[in-house]
Amino acid sequence: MWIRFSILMLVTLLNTLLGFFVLKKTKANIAKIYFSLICFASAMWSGGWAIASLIREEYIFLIITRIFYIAATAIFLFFFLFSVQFLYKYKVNKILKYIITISSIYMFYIIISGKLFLGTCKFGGFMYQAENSLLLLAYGVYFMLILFISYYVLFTKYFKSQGVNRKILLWLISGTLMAFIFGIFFAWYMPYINKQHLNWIGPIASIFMNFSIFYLFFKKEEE
Amino acid sequence: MKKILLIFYGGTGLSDKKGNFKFVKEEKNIEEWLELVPELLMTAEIKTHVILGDHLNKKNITDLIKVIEKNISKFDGIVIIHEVDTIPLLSNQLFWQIQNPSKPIVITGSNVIQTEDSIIPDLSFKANLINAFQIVNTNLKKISVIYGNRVIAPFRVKRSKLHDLNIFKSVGKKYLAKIDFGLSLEKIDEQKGKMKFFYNFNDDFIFFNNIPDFTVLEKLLVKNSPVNIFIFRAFPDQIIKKDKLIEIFDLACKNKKMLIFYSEVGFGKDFLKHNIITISKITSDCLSAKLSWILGQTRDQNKIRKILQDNVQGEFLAF
Repeated sequence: MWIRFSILMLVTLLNTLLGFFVLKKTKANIAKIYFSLICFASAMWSGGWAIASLIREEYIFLIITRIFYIAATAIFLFFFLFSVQFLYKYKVNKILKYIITISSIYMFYIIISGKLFLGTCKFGGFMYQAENSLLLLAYGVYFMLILFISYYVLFTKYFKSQGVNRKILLWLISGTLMAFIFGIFFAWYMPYINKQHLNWIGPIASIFMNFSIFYLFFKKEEE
Repeated sequence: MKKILLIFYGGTGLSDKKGNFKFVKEEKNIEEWLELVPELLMTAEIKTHVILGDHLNKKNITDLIKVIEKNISKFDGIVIIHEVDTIPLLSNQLFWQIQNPSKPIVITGSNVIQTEDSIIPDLSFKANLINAFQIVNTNLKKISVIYGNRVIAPFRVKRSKLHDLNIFKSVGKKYLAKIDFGLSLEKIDEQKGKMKFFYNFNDDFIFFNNIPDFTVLEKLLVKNSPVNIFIFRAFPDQIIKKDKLIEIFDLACKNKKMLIFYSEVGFGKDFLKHNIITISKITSDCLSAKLSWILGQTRDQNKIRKILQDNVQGEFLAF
Protein backbone atom coordinates (compact mmCIF):
# COMPACT_ATOMS: atom_id res chain seq x y z
CA MET A 1 0.00 0.00 0.00
CA TRP A 2 2.69 2.45 1.06
CA ILE A 3 4.88 1.53 -1.92
CA ARG A 4 2.07 2.47 -4.34
CA PHE A 5 1.36 5.63 -2.34
CA SER A 6 5.07 6.64 -2.33
CA ILE A 7 5.51 6.06 -6.08
CA LEU A 8 2.39 8.08 -6.91
CA MET A 9 3.38 10.86 -4.50
CA LEU A 10 6.83 11.02 -6.14
CA VAL A 11 5.16 11.44 -9.54
CA THR A 12 2.91 14.11 -7.99
CA LEU A 13 5.98 15.92 -6.67
CA LEU A 14 7.74 15.74 -10.05
CA ASN A 15 4.70 17.12 -11.86
CA THR A 16 4.27 19.91 -9.32
CA LEU A 17 7.97 20.82 -9.56
CA LEU A 18 7.84 20.92 -13.36
CA GLY A 19 4.65 23.02 -13.22
CA PHE A 20 6.26 25.63 -10.94
CA PHE A 21 9.52 25.53 -12.90
CA VAL A 22 7.78 26.21 -16.22
CA LEU A 23 5.70 28.94 -14.57
CA LYS A 24 8.82 30.56 -13.08
CA LYS A 25 10.52 30.70 -16.48
CA THR A 26 7.41 32.15 -18.08
CA LYS A 27 6.77 35.78 -18.74
CA ALA A 28 3.57 36.64 -20.56
CA ASN A 29 3.75 33.36 -22.45
CA ILE A 30 0.28 31.88 -22.56
CA ALA A 31 1.47 28.54 -24.03
CA LYS A 32 3.77 27.89 -21.11
CA ILE A 33 1.07 28.84 -18.62
CA TYR A 34 -1.12 26.15 -20.23
CA PHE A 35 1.77 23.70 -20.00
CA SER A 36 2.24 24.36 -16.30
CA LEU A 37 -1.50 23.81 -15.89
CA ILE A 38 -1.06 20.41 -17.61
CA CYS A 39 1.63 19.63 -15.00
CA PHE A 40 -0.58 20.72 -12.09
CA ALA A 41 -3.52 18.70 -13.46
CA SER A 42 -1.19 15.67 -13.83
CA ALA A 43 -0.07 16.22 -10.23
CA MET A 44 -3.70 16.29 -9.15
CA TRP A 45 -4.38 13.08 -11.10
CA SER A 46 -1.46 11.17 -9.60
CA GLY A 47 -1.97 12.76 -6.16
CA GLY A 48 -5.64 11.72 -6.30
CA TRP A 49 -4.64 8.14 -7.04
CA ALA A 50 -2.05 8.23 -4.23
CA ILE A 51 -4.68 9.30 -1.68
CA ALA A 52 -7.26 6.92 -3.14
CA SER A 53 -4.84 4.01 -2.54
CA LEU A 54 -5.22 4.64 1.22
CA ILE A 55 -9.02 5.04 1.25
CA ARG A 56 -11.32 2.25 2.35
CA GLU A 57 -14.63 4.17 2.43
CA GLU A 58 -16.60 3.88 -0.85
CA TYR A 59 -18.23 7.31 -0.46
CA ILE A 60 -14.90 9.15 0.03
CA PHE A 61 -13.25 7.05 -2.70
CA LEU A 62 -15.87 8.10 -5.26
CA ILE A 63 -15.41 11.78 -4.34
CA ILE A 64 -11.64 11.45 -4.91
CA THR A 65 -12.32 9.55 -8.14
CA ARG A 66 -14.37 12.49 -9.39
CA ILE A 67 -11.48 14.84 -8.56
CA PHE A 68 -8.85 12.87 -10.45
CA TYR A 69 -11.19 12.33 -13.42
CA ILE A 70 -11.69 16.12 -13.55
CA ALA A 71 -7.90 16.52 -13.44
CA ALA A 72 -7.42 13.96 -16.23
CA THR A 73 -10.01 15.74 -18.40
CA ALA A 74 -8.30 19.07 -17.70
CA ILE A 75 -4.98 17.58 -18.93
CA PHE A 76 -6.51 16.97 -22.38
CA LEU A 77 -8.11 20.42 -22.53
CA PHE A 78 -4.95 22.24 -21.45
CA PHE A 79 -2.90 20.15 -23.87
CA PHE A 80 -5.16 21.23 -26.72
CA LEU A 81 -4.89 24.90 -25.71
CA PHE A 82 -1.13 24.54 -25.33
CA SER A 83 -0.69 22.96 -28.77
CA VAL A 84 -2.62 25.82 -30.38
CA GLN A 85 -0.58 28.53 -28.63
CA PHE A 86 2.92 27.02 -28.58
CA LEU A 87 5.46 29.06 -30.62
CA TYR A 88 2.71 30.87 -32.52
CA LYS A 89 -1.09 30.83 -32.48
CA TYR A 90 -2.56 28.22 -34.81
CA LYS A 91 -5.98 29.04 -36.19
CA VAL A 92 -8.49 26.31 -35.27
CA ASN A 93 -11.78 25.88 -37.10
CA LYS A 94 -14.71 27.43 -35.17
CA ILE A 95 -16.87 24.28 -35.50
CA LEU A 96 -14.10 22.23 -33.88
CA LYS A 97 -13.91 24.74 -31.04
CA TYR A 98 -17.66 24.39 -30.44
CA ILE A 99 -17.46 20.57 -30.56
CA ILE A 100 -14.62 20.56 -28.01
CA THR A 101 -16.41 23.04 -25.71
CA ILE A 102 -19.77 21.24 -25.76
CA SER A 103 -18.26 17.76 -25.35
CA SER A 104 -16.04 19.01 -22.49
CA ILE A 105 -19.07 20.43 -20.67
CA TYR A 106 -20.84 17.10 -21.11
CA MET A 107 -17.81 15.14 -19.84
CA PHE A 108 -17.50 17.34 -16.76
CA TYR A 109 -21.23 16.83 -16.19
CA ILE A 110 -21.06 13.00 -16.29
CA ILE A 111 -18.00 13.06 -14.00
CA ILE A 112 -19.34 15.50 -11.39
CA SER A 113 -22.85 14.02 -11.39
CA GLY A 114 -21.34 10.55 -10.93
CA LYS A 115 -23.14 9.12 -13.99
CA LEU A 116 -19.80 7.78 -15.25
CA PHE A 117 -19.36 5.61 -12.17
CA LEU A 118 -21.36 2.53 -11.29
CA GLY A 119 -19.71 1.98 -7.93
CA THR A 120 -16.48 0.48 -6.64
CA CYS A 121 -14.74 -2.88 -6.83
CA LYS A 122 -11.81 -4.40 -4.92
CA PHE A 123 -8.61 -6.10 -6.12
CA GLY A 124 -5.77 -7.13 -3.82
CA GLY A 125 -7.04 -5.03 -0.94
CA PHE A 126 -7.27 -1.83 -3.05
CA MET A 127 -10.45 -0.07 -4.02
CA TYR A 128 -11.11 0.86 -7.67
CA GLN A 129 -13.99 2.62 -9.41
CA ALA A 130 -16.24 0.69 -11.79
CA GLU A 131 -17.24 2.80 -14.79
CA ASN A 132 -20.28 2.69 -17.04
CA SER A 133 -18.68 1.12 -20.12
CA LEU A 134 -20.76 3.08 -22.63
CA LEU A 135 -19.95 6.41 -20.99
CA LEU A 136 -16.33 5.33 -20.61
CA LEU A 137 -16.27 4.68 -24.36
CA ALA A 138 -17.76 8.14 -24.97
CA TYR A 139 -15.08 9.58 -22.69
CA GLY A 140 -12.44 7.71 -24.74
CA VAL A 141 -13.80 9.09 -28.03
CA TYR A 142 -13.82 12.57 -26.49
CA PHE A 143 -10.17 12.63 -25.45
CA MET A 144 -9.02 10.81 -28.60
CA LEU A 145 -10.61 13.60 -30.63
CA ILE A 146 -8.88 16.27 -28.55
CA LEU A 147 -5.55 14.48 -28.76
CA PHE A 148 -5.92 13.95 -32.50
CA ILE A 149 -6.50 17.69 -33.07
CA SER A 150 -3.70 18.65 -30.68
CA TYR A 151 -1.16 16.37 -32.34
CA TYR A 152 -2.33 17.44 -35.79
CA VAL A 153 -1.49 21.03 -34.79
CA LEU A 154 1.83 20.05 -33.20
CA PHE A 155 2.92 17.90 -36.16
CA THR A 156 1.94 20.67 -38.59
CA LYS A 157 4.09 23.08 -36.58
CA TYR A 158 6.89 20.50 -36.48
CA PHE A 159 6.98 19.96 -40.24
CA LYS A 160 6.88 23.69 -40.92
CA SER A 161 9.52 24.55 -38.31
CA GLN A 162 13.28 24.74 -38.58
CA GLY A 163 16.33 24.89 -36.33
CA VAL A 164 15.94 25.01 -32.59
CA ASN A 165 12.13 25.08 -32.70
CA ARG A 166 12.04 21.82 -34.65
CA LYS A 167 14.21 20.13 -32.00
CA ILE A 168 12.01 21.42 -29.18
CA LEU A 169 8.86 20.20 -30.93
CA LEU A 170 10.41 16.77 -31.51
CA TRP A 171 11.20 16.35 -27.79
CA LEU A 172 7.82 17.70 -26.79
CA ILE A 173 5.88 15.44 -29.18
CA SER A 174 7.93 12.35 -28.23
CA GLY A 175 7.64 12.92 -24.47
CA THR A 176 3.93 13.73 -24.40
CA LEU A 177 3.01 11.03 -26.92
CA MET A 178 4.73 8.36 -24.80
CA ALA A 179 3.01 9.70 -21.68
CA PHE A 180 -0.41 9.72 -23.37
CA ILE A 181 -0.02 6.24 -24.94
CA PHE A 182 0.99 4.58 -21.64
CA GLY A 183 -1.39 6.74 -19.59
CA ILE A 184 -4.37 5.95 -21.80
CA PHE A 185 -3.48 2.26 -21.98
CA PHE A 186 -3.47 1.83 -18.20
CA ALA A 187 -5.99 4.45 -17.12
CA TRP A 188 -8.60 4.06 -19.86
CA TYR A 189 -8.13 0.87 -21.94
CA MET A 190 -7.50 -1.48 -18.99
CA PRO A 191 -10.61 -0.34 -17.05
CA TYR A 192 -12.53 -0.54 -20.34
CA ILE A 193 -11.70 -4.25 -20.59
CA ASN A 194 -12.51 -4.64 -16.89
CA LYS A 195 -8.91 -4.84 -15.64
CA GLN A 196 -9.26 -2.02 -13.13
CA HIS A 197 -6.37 -3.18 -10.94
CA LEU A 198 -3.78 -1.60 -13.34
CA ASN A 199 -5.61 1.70 -13.45
CA TRP A 200 -3.27 3.44 -10.98
CA ILE A 201 -0.21 2.97 -13.28
CA GLY A 202 -1.67 5.55 -15.71
CA PRO A 203 -0.49 8.69 -13.89
CA ILE A 204 3.06 7.31 -13.63
CA ALA A 205 3.34 7.60 -17.42
CA SER A 206 3.51 11.40 -17.00
CA ILE A 207 7.20 10.98 -16.08
CA PHE A 208 7.92 10.57 -19.82
CA MET A 209 6.62 14.10 -20.31
CA ASN A 210 8.56 15.32 -17.25
CA PHE A 211 11.76 13.77 -18.53
CA SER A 212 11.52 15.30 -22.01
CA ILE A 213 10.76 18.81 -20.72
CA PHE A 214 13.38 18.69 -17.94
CA TYR A 215 15.86 17.54 -20.59
CA LEU A 216 15.07 20.60 -22.74
CA PHE A 217 15.63 22.88 -19.76
CA PHE A 218 18.79 21.31 -18.42
CA LYS A 219 20.64 19.86 -21.39
CA LYS A 220 24.25 20.96 -21.49
CA GLU A 221 25.34 22.63 -24.66
CA GLU A 222 28.71 23.28 -26.14
CA GLU A 223 29.78 26.95 -25.89
CA MET B 1 -2.20 40.97 -31.20
CA LYS B 2 1.16 42.71 -30.77
CA LYS B 3 2.31 45.27 -33.32
CA ILE B 4 5.82 44.75 -34.59
CA LEU B 5 7.97 46.84 -36.91
CA LEU B 6 10.11 44.53 -39.04
CA ILE B 7 13.14 46.30 -40.46
CA PHE B 8 15.02 44.69 -43.35
CA TYR B 9 18.67 45.72 -43.36
CA GLY B 10 20.45 42.86 -45.19
CA GLY B 11 20.66 39.24 -44.04
CA THR B 12 17.23 38.33 -45.38
CA GLY B 13 18.05 35.18 -47.40
CA LEU B 14 15.22 32.66 -47.13
CA SER B 15 14.91 29.59 -49.33
CA ASP B 16 11.61 28.27 -50.63
CA LYS B 17 10.68 24.57 -51.08
CA LYS B 18 12.43 24.41 -54.45
CA GLY B 19 15.62 25.81 -52.95
CA ASN B 20 15.28 29.25 -54.58
CA PHE B 21 16.46 32.11 -52.43
CA LYS B 22 14.31 35.15 -51.69
CA PHE B 23 15.88 38.35 -50.44
CA VAL B 24 14.35 41.65 -49.43
CA LYS B 25 16.30 44.41 -51.10
CA GLU B 26 13.41 46.76 -51.73
CA GLU B 27 9.78 47.16 -50.66
CA LYS B 28 8.39 45.14 -53.58
CA ASN B 29 10.16 41.95 -52.37
CA ILE B 30 8.47 41.97 -48.95
CA GLU B 31 5.14 40.33 -49.79
CA GLU B 32 6.72 37.33 -51.52
CA TRP B 33 9.26 37.00 -48.70
CA LEU B 34 6.60 37.09 -45.96
CA GLU B 35 4.69 34.30 -47.74
CA LEU B 36 7.61 32.01 -46.89
CA VAL B 37 7.14 32.67 -43.16
CA PRO B 38 3.35 32.77 -42.69
CA GLU B 39 3.83 32.05 -38.98
CA LEU B 40 4.97 35.64 -38.44
CA LEU B 41 1.59 37.01 -39.47
CA MET B 42 -0.07 34.60 -37.01
CA THR B 43 2.10 36.02 -34.21
CA ALA B 44 1.79 39.74 -34.74
CA GLU B 45 0.50 42.59 -36.81
CA ILE B 46 3.50 43.52 -38.93
CA LYS B 47 4.60 46.78 -40.52
CA THR B 48 7.80 46.76 -42.51
CA HIS B 49 10.63 49.08 -43.45
CA VAL B 50 13.60 48.53 -45.72
CA ILE B 51 17.00 50.13 -45.22
CA LEU B 52 18.33 50.27 -48.75
CA GLY B 53 21.75 48.67 -49.03
CA ASP B 54 23.03 46.17 -46.53
CA HIS B 55 26.38 47.84 -45.81
CA LEU B 56 27.12 48.88 -42.28
CA ASN B 57 27.88 52.54 -42.85
CA LYS B 58 27.16 55.78 -41.07
CA LYS B 59 24.27 56.79 -43.35
CA ASN B 60 22.46 53.46 -42.97
CA ILE B 61 22.91 53.35 -39.20
CA THR B 62 21.68 56.95 -38.88
CA ASP B 63 18.65 56.09 -41.05
CA LEU B 64 18.00 53.04 -38.88
CA ILE B 65 18.12 55.11 -35.67
CA LYS B 66 15.74 57.66 -37.23
CA VAL B 67 13.25 54.92 -38.19
CA ILE B 68 13.42 53.43 -34.70
CA GLU B 69 12.95 56.80 -32.96
CA LYS B 70 10.03 57.70 -35.23
CA ASN B 71 8.23 54.37 -34.73
CA ILE B 72 9.13 52.95 -31.32
CA SER B 73 6.13 54.52 -29.58
CA LYS B 74 3.73 53.15 -32.22
CA PHE B 75 4.81 49.49 -31.91
CA ASP B 76 5.23 46.85 -29.19
CA GLY B 77 8.71 46.10 -30.44
CA ILE B 78 11.13 46.23 -33.33
CA VAL B 79 12.80 43.29 -35.09
CA ILE B 80 15.81 44.09 -37.27
CA ILE B 81 17.08 41.59 -39.85
CA HIS B 82 20.74 42.11 -40.69
CA GLU B 83 23.81 40.33 -42.09
CA VAL B 84 25.08 37.93 -39.43
CA ASP B 85 28.71 38.92 -40.12
CA THR B 86 28.09 42.44 -38.92
CA ILE B 87 25.42 41.77 -36.28
CA PRO B 88 27.96 42.17 -33.41
CA LEU B 89 29.00 45.58 -34.75
CA LEU B 90 25.48 46.79 -35.52
CA SER B 91 24.03 45.60 -32.23
CA ASN B 92 26.82 47.31 -30.28
CA GLN B 93 26.45 50.54 -32.22
CA LEU B 94 22.70 50.54 -31.53
CA PHE B 95 23.41 49.67 -27.88
CA TRP B 96 25.31 52.97 -27.60
CA GLN B 97 23.19 55.13 -29.87
CA ILE B 98 19.84 54.03 -28.37
CA GLN B 99 20.17 53.87 -24.61
CA ASN B 100 17.45 52.49 -22.30
CA PRO B 101 15.01 51.53 -25.07
CA SER B 102 11.38 51.61 -23.94
CA LYS B 103 10.48 48.61 -26.12
CA PRO B 104 12.27 45.42 -27.20
CA ILE B 105 14.67 45.83 -30.13
CA VAL B 106 15.71 42.41 -31.43
CA ILE B 107 18.35 41.73 -34.07
CA THR B 108 18.68 38.51 -36.05
CA GLY B 109 19.68 37.46 -39.53
CA SER B 110 20.07 34.73 -42.08
CA ASN B 111 23.41 32.96 -42.22
CA VAL B 112 23.56 32.04 -45.90
CA ILE B 113 26.95 30.58 -46.76
CA GLN B 114 28.25 30.90 -50.30
CA THR B 115 30.73 28.25 -51.36
CA GLU B 116 32.41 27.93 -54.75
CA ASP B 117 29.66 25.81 -56.27
CA SER B 118 26.64 26.17 -54.00
CA ILE B 119 24.75 28.30 -51.54
CA ILE B 120 23.97 26.75 -48.16
CA PRO B 121 20.66 28.01 -46.76
CA ASP B 122 20.20 28.94 -43.13
CA LEU B 123 17.81 26.35 -41.69
CA SER B 124 17.60 28.24 -38.40
CA PHE B 125 16.42 31.53 -39.84
CA LYS B 126 12.67 30.88 -39.69
CA ALA B 127 12.97 29.72 -36.09
CA ASN B 128 15.07 32.79 -35.27
CA LEU B 129 12.42 35.08 -36.70
CA ILE B 130 9.58 33.38 -34.81
CA ASN B 131 11.61 33.50 -31.59
CA ALA B 132 12.53 37.15 -32.19
CA PHE B 133 8.80 37.89 -32.35
CA GLN B 134 8.33 35.95 -29.11
CA ILE B 135 10.89 38.20 -27.42
CA VAL B 136 8.75 41.19 -28.34
CA ASN B 137 5.81 39.39 -26.72
CA THR B 138 7.78 39.04 -23.47
CA ASN B 139 8.47 42.79 -23.45
CA LEU B 140 12.22 42.45 -22.88
CA LYS B 141 13.06 46.17 -23.00
CA LYS B 142 16.59 45.74 -24.26
CA ILE B 143 18.54 45.60 -27.46
CA SER B 144 19.22 41.92 -27.98
CA VAL B 145 20.65 39.53 -30.53
CA ILE B 146 18.91 36.22 -31.15
CA TYR B 147 20.32 33.29 -33.03
CA GLY B 148 19.72 29.58 -32.40
CA ASN B 149 18.70 29.06 -28.81
CA ARG B 150 20.54 32.10 -27.43
CA VAL B 151 19.38 35.63 -26.74
CA ILE B 152 22.47 37.73 -26.04
CA ALA B 153 23.11 41.32 -24.94
CA PRO B 154 25.12 43.22 -27.59
CA PHE B 155 28.05 43.91 -25.26
CA ARG B 156 28.55 40.14 -24.78
CA VAL B 157 27.94 38.90 -28.31
CA LYS B 158 30.76 37.29 -30.27
CA ARG B 159 30.72 35.27 -33.48
CA SER B 160 32.06 31.83 -32.64
CA LYS B 161 31.08 29.57 -35.54
CA LEU B 162 30.61 29.89 -39.28
CA HIS B 163 27.63 27.58 -39.63
CA ASP B 164 25.83 25.89 -36.75
CA LEU B 165 22.70 25.94 -34.62
CA ASN B 166 24.39 28.72 -32.61
CA ILE B 167 26.88 30.95 -34.39
CA PHE B 168 27.20 33.53 -31.60
CA LYS B 169 28.44 33.01 -28.09
CA SER B 170 28.00 35.17 -25.04
CA VAL B 171 31.22 36.31 -23.36
CA GLY B 172 30.91 35.24 -19.74
CA LYS B 173 28.21 32.73 -20.72
CA LYS B 174 25.41 34.99 -19.49
CA TYR B 175 22.27 35.23 -21.58
CA LEU B 176 19.23 37.50 -21.61
CA ALA B 177 17.11 34.47 -22.46
CA LYS B 178 17.40 30.97 -23.84
CA ILE B 179 15.19 28.97 -26.10
CA ASP B 180 14.95 25.70 -24.20
CA PHE B 181 11.29 24.82 -23.93
CA GLY B 182 10.12 27.92 -25.75
CA LEU B 183 11.59 31.20 -24.57
CA SER B 184 12.94 31.29 -21.02
CA LEU B 185 14.01 34.66 -19.69
CA GLU B 186 16.93 34.94 -17.31
CA LYS B 187 16.76 37.24 -14.30
CA ILE B 188 17.48 40.67 -15.74
CA ASP B 189 17.92 43.95 -13.90
CA GLU B 190 15.28 46.45 -14.87
CA GLN B 191 16.88 49.34 -16.65
CA LYS B 192 16.80 52.76 -15.10
CA GLY B 193 16.59 56.04 -16.92
CA LYS B 194 14.81 57.43 -19.92
CA MET B 195 15.27 56.29 -23.48
CA LYS B 196 17.87 58.40 -25.28
CA PHE B 197 18.74 58.57 -28.94
CA PHE B 198 22.20 59.71 -30.06
CA TYR B 199 22.67 60.46 -33.72
CA ASN B 200 26.32 61.46 -33.58
CA PHE B 201 29.05 58.90 -33.75
CA ASN B 202 32.45 59.02 -35.26
CA ASP B 203 34.82 56.34 -36.45
CA ASP B 204 37.95 58.52 -36.65
CA PHE B 205 40.16 56.03 -34.90
CA ILE B 206 42.20 52.98 -35.83
CA PHE B 207 41.93 49.65 -34.03
CA PHE B 208 45.10 47.58 -34.40
CA ASN B 209 45.03 43.92 -33.59
CA ASN B 210 48.65 44.14 -32.38
CA ILE B 211 51.31 46.71 -31.44
CA PRO B 212 53.20 47.48 -34.65
CA ASP B 213 56.92 48.01 -34.83
CA PHE B 214 58.15 51.35 -33.49
CA THR B 215 59.27 52.56 -36.93
CA VAL B 216 55.73 52.02 -38.24
CA LEU B 217 54.26 53.72 -35.19
CA GLU B 218 56.49 56.77 -35.67
CA LYS B 219 54.93 57.28 -39.09
CA LEU B 220 51.41 56.83 -37.74
CA LEU B 221 51.88 59.19 -34.83
CA VAL B 222 53.17 62.16 -36.84
CA LYS B 223 51.46 65.43 -35.95
CA ASN B 224 49.66 65.96 -39.26
CA SER B 225 48.24 62.44 -39.54
CA PRO B 226 44.40 62.65 -39.77
CA VAL B 227 43.80 60.03 -37.09
CA ASN B 228 44.11 61.08 -33.45
CA ILE B 229 43.13 57.94 -31.58
CA PHE B 230 44.76 54.52 -31.81
CA ILE B 231 43.67 51.36 -30.05
CA PHE B 232 46.14 48.51 -29.84
CA ARG B 233 45.15 45.05 -28.82
CA ALA B 234 48.02 44.36 -26.48
CA PHE B 235 49.23 41.01 -25.34
CA PRO B 236 50.74 40.58 -21.87
CA ASP B 237 54.31 40.29 -23.17
CA GLN B 238 53.87 43.54 -25.12
CA ILE B 239 52.43 45.55 -22.26
CA ILE B 240 55.35 44.75 -19.97
CA LYS B 241 57.94 46.12 -22.41
CA LYS B 242 57.86 49.33 -20.42
CA ASP B 243 60.64 51.23 -22.19
CA LYS B 244 59.07 50.73 -25.58
CA LEU B 245 55.67 51.80 -24.36
CA ILE B 246 56.99 54.96 -22.71
CA GLU B 247 58.79 55.85 -25.93
CA ILE B 248 55.55 55.40 -27.91
CA PHE B 249 53.56 57.30 -25.33
CA ASP B 250 55.99 60.27 -25.32
CA LEU B 251 55.74 60.51 -29.08
CA ALA B 252 51.94 60.34 -28.94
CA CYS B 253 51.79 63.07 -26.26
CA LYS B 254 54.08 65.29 -28.27
CA ASN B 255 51.83 64.99 -31.32
CA LYS B 256 48.52 65.11 -29.33
CA LYS B 257 47.54 61.58 -30.24
CA MET B 258 45.63 59.31 -27.89
CA LEU B 259 46.76 55.73 -27.33
CA ILE B 260 44.61 53.00 -25.87
CA PHE B 261 45.93 49.56 -25.00
CA TYR B 262 43.25 46.94 -24.99
CA SER B 263 42.96 43.40 -23.74
CA GLU B 264 39.61 41.64 -23.46
CA VAL B 265 40.47 39.67 -20.33
CA GLY B 266 42.58 42.27 -18.53
CA PHE B 267 46.22 43.12 -17.84
CA GLY B 268 48.22 41.33 -15.21
CA LYS B 269 50.46 44.36 -14.70
CA ASP B 270 48.79 47.70 -15.05
CA PHE B 271 51.83 49.75 -14.03
CA LEU B 272 51.45 52.34 -16.78
CA LYS B 273 47.85 53.21 -15.99
CA HIS B 274 48.64 56.82 -15.15
CA ASN B 275 50.18 57.45 -18.53
CA ILE B 276 48.64 55.11 -21.04
CA ILE B 277 44.96 54.27 -21.17
CA THR B 278 44.41 50.60 -20.68
CA ILE B 279 40.97 49.19 -21.28
CA SER B 280 39.95 45.65 -20.53
CA LYS B 281 36.99 43.40 -19.71
CA ILE B 282 34.99 44.62 -22.69
CA THR B 283 34.56 43.00 -26.09
CA SER B 284 36.38 44.61 -29.01
CA ASP B 285 33.10 45.31 -30.85
CA CYS B 286 31.66 47.01 -27.81
CA LEU B 287 34.84 49.06 -27.26
CA SER B 288 34.80 50.21 -30.91
CA ALA B 289 31.13 51.17 -30.70
CA LYS B 290 31.62 52.91 -27.36
CA LEU B 291 34.58 54.96 -28.59
CA SER B 292 32.65 55.80 -31.74
CA TRP B 293 29.71 57.00 -29.62
CA ILE B 294 32.02 59.02 -27.29
CA LEU B 295 33.67 60.70 -30.28
CA GLY B 296 30.21 61.71 -31.44
CA GLN B 297 29.67 63.52 -28.12
CA THR B 298 33.07 65.05 -27.34
CA ARG B 299 36.58 65.64 -28.70
CA ASP B 300 38.08 66.54 -25.33
CA GLN B 301 40.77 63.92 -24.65
CA ASN B 302 40.28 64.06 -20.87
CA LYS B 303 36.53 63.47 -21.23
CA ILE B 304 37.13 60.66 -23.72
CA ARG B 305 39.54 59.00 -21.29
CA LYS B 306 37.06 59.32 -18.41
CA ILE B 307 33.98 58.04 -20.28
CA LEU B 308 35.98 55.19 -21.80
CA GLN B 309 36.92 53.96 -18.35
CA ASP B 310 33.44 54.50 -16.83
CA ASN B 311 31.05 51.57 -16.79
CA VAL B 312 28.30 53.61 -18.50
CA GLN B 313 25.81 50.86 -19.38
CA GLY B 314 27.19 47.81 -17.61
CA GLU B 315 29.41 47.04 -20.60
CA PHE B 316 32.42 45.92 -18.53
CA LEU B 317 32.29 42.20 -18.01
CA ALA B 318 33.25 40.09 -15.03
CA PHE B 319 35.41 37.19 -16.20
